[in-house]
Amino acid sequence: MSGKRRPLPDVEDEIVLERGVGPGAVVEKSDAPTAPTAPTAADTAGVEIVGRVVKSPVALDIPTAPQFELASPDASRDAQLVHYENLIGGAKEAVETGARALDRYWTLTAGRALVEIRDGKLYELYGYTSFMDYVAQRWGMVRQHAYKLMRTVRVQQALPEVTVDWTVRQVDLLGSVAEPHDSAGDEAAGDKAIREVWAKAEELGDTSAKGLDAARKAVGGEAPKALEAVKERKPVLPVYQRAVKPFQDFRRLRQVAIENPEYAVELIKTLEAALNELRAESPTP
Amino acid sequence: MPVTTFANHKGGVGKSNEVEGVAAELAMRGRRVLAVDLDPQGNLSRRMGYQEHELETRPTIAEAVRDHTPKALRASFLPCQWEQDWAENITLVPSRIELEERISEAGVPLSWQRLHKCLAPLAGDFDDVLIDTPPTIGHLLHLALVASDYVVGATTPTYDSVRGIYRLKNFIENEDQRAGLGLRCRMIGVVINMKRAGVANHDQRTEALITRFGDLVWPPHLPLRASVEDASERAEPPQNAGPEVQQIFRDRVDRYMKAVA
Repeated sequence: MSGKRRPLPDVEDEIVLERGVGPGAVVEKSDAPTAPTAPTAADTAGVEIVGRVVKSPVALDIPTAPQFELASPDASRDAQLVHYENLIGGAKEAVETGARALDRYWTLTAGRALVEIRDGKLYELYGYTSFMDYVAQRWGMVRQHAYKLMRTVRVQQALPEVTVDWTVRQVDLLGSVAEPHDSAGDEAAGDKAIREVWAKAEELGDTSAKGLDAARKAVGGEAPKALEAVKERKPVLPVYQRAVKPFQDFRRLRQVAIENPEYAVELIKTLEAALNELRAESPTP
Repeated sequence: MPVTTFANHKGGVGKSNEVEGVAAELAMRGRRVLAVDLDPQGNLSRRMGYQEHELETRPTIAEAVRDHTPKALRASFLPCQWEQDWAENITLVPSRIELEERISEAGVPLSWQRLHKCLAPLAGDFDDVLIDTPPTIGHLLHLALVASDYVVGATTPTYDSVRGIYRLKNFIENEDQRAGLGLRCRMIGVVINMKRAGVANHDQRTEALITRFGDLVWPPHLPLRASVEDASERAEPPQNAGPEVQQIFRDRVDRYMKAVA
């Protein structure tokens, strides 16, 4: 659907509207026509379907013009190499800094907005019956990505100076550390608990999910209920080890696409979703 | 300004999708299209940009049929909310569930002429009028048929859907029905949707339709594609599913134009 909605025409006369069916039906009247006014720019352009666009995002220190300069022709070959390598190093750092800033901007803007839409069930206003359907169809996000985004909000709020590619397990674990405090309405204590575990993990030299879990134990934090529950379940690894074998026979796999192209498309989608889920839960290489 | 009804007694066969695709292709050719949603489910209205709650305080086809005046129908006109390329030539008459109430008025003498009475004086404002119908052979379909010049059957290549098309054709061609309702419409096409490659049943039903309807079956058949469903979910025309679907609707509209010329 178009990002701009076309303005709706006024209904010239009041029209009796029957709303609902059966014994519960009621009779109403259509909206009265609005008084004519001079058209505004918004009238011409239509109005935004969804909330306001953020016009001025946070100031990001991103270079807008190339900063390339030729080395001095009089410089030695060694000096020329140093000059060009400095340019590459500087550009790489600028890109990485910008990417981290944009990632943080994205999480704390879109992630927080998604939390509000989910908690307030605002997606129902557009006729979606589930939040999952809303994020998938309105924003083209896979479920796992949306949930990771929302979970990362809490951690980034507590650790604004930390810029890493968070995994789902990392943010789940840190979020669970803050959860008892957040539930009690004491977000400051939740922030403190997250920072404490993170600092301990850095001190121990391992900030992976496994390292964070060790740090949590070291500072005496409670075990996350979700992770404990997973550990108590029956192992599923043998099931997947058996299931993966047919996928390693590429010749037969290609035959699937020839036998039933529609099913092959569905299979690709299923495997892509599984891949995303697996990547999200795996330790960062 | 031909008025064309898209119908099948069976549901879920792609009637609304066909109306969307034909409307979009006609609009792209610069023709002014009026898309009438005569299904109380309001699926066409939703796909052209209007959720049911957005129509709460606006007149719809239910009020237009009840009042059966051109003025009432015109009051329900809404702009299609697709991207500009597709939508600028399309006007929608939306529907809501209250249209179901009109069915209970089917016994009123000449009630089947009510859509025709409000549509005929306005049809000249458009190059094409397309009516999407609910899966019924009852009163709501009668309203559409009485107002129409042409009928296009939409079906999937499955037993029940094909039976639905047979019943539709028999109904339209039945002399008693034609005389009783005052029908002037005739069937100009059958489109086959959601056809799966390599499925024997689908091939057999397709052959059966071609045997029964001959040239009335419009090639090419629309294959089952997740991307078409995705476009529908996103309230976009089926053409947004890609070049293959765009070409199919170009070919189908060529057939439509030839039939209504």
